[in-house]
Amino acid sequence: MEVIYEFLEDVFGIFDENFQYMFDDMREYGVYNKMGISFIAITLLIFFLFYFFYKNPYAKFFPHWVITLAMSAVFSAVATFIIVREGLAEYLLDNDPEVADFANQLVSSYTAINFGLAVIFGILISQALRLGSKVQPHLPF
Amino acid sequence: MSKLYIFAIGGTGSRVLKSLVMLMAAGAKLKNHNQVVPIIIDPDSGNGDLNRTKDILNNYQHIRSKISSPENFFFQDITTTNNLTSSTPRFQDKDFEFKLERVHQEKFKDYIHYSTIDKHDADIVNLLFSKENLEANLNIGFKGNPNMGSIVLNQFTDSEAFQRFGQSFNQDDSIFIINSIFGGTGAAGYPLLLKLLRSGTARIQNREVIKDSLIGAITYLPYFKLKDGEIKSQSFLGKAKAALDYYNRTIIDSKQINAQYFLGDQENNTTYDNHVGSKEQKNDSHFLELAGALSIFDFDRNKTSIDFKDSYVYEFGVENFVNSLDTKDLNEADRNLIFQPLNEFSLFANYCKSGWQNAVGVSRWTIKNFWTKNRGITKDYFDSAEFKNEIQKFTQLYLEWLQELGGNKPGFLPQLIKKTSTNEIFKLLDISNCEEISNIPQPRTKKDIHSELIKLFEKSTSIVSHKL
Repeated sequence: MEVIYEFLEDVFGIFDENFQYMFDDMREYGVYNKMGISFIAITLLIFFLFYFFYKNPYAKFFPHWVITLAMSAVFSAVATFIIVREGLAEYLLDNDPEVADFANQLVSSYTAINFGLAVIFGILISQALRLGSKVQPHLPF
Repeated sequence: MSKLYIFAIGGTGSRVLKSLVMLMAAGAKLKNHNQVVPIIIDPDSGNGDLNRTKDILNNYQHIRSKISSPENFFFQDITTTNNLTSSTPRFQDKDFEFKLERVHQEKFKDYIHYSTIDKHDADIVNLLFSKENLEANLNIGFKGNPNMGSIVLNQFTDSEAFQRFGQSFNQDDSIFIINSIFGGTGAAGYPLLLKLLRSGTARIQNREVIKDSLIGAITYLPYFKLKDGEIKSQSFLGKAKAALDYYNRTIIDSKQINAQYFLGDQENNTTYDNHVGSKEQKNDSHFLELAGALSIFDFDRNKTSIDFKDSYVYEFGVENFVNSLDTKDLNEADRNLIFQPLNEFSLFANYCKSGWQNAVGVSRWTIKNFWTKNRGITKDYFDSAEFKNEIQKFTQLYLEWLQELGGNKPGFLPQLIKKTSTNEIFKLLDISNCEEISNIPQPRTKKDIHSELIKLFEKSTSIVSHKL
């Protein structure tokens, strides 16, 4: 997970050498792993429910499948927000406003990244789950 | 392969046949006969009941011919004497009928050449036939006058269809005759036909085999009344008593028939409009006609136990006599025969009327692509003439039949069937369809266009009917 997030930090310019310690803490306390597992687990669970337990023979791409994707992205983002805030709690309350601002910025960035990752993962996992689905294999399209 | 030839005489014959076809479409099966060969005998070729039944039979054949190895719905093979004797099968409603000659636009007096007979013979004729009888047009039947029927119906032995009947008859085949005792055509036709079959004198092939074959019959005693008009329903009972006495002496006591069923209902019956015949004679379906169809299944079940040298007489009864009958009011054998088929086919029929519109192009089982594993049930199929003119037409007629049964006296509308047309039920069917579509065998040939739909609904209606 760390490798993926480090790559994304570079891509989106999130990493800042001046706050290396925050990234080190996140690695040390397993925040990257928690973030990764949360969006994967939430997306997987929601799409699993959609393809195997939600038996609506009239489900369409829009709104049913799109709502499922949006739900998985929003829940993943909320989970990420909570996980990262917990991981960076002491920096968020730091007296130095520059540190607190950067910590807040990290929370927002990771929330947005996981929202996007959940969307991509949702699309990909749909292609696999639909193979075993009885009622919704024709979705997303 | 043994066949059951069913001679349906007159309007009652046609209506019983209609109930039989509806039960067979729903999946009720004969145990000891593979093919059913209906033969309608009715001089009133414009009769509404006759034409409706021929249309239903023809439609049944068309649908069945487009299903690969039917298992429940449309399982029973219904064919014609023409198809049994011809190398090129065809589906035409006229093939179900014995065409009577010289009955169209001809008066009875012309039919018997009244104007050319001498005075002594004319006096005898005048004794046997009233002025109204002699002036009656034959193209609308015998209007409740069996004395006329017994003269005219004598000719069906010469017909091409009767020849084909003889030609196709085999050792193991059986015959069943449907008639009413209180009308004209049926009351006259039954003893004539039976005499012809048993005497071995008909000028047809296999007459010796036919003579010794298993023959059953259902004879209807009065079960409806008519409003005042040309046919007097007050005379039904008197005519029935006289005919019963005659049947008893000439048919039952002399062991001409192997299984004789009687059905009637004097107490609790319907009064229909008085139409002497033609297209206006289209009575609503009646429970007793369904019971008559059940007697054919009973005859089939008993085939192996009936002594060919003896005569058995059966009556039909219900377990509970109420104004609105349900399947629970029938005896166990009949209940077991029709309970599931009626529920399942009613689900299918209601779905074909107003359920499919929500699913087409949306539900997995109506979309054809790599993921859905659906081969042929697509929007194009639902838009096709075959679906609209065959499946939808038949299922609509089935629903009308059910509705008529329910609205008649006594009514017959099983409680569960009332629950088969809700959106919730359609949704359950669509879920089952989605789950089962990948298990449906591929049609054998491209022409089996209804195969997938029928087989899919055989499964899904069976699953959903247990949740009703």
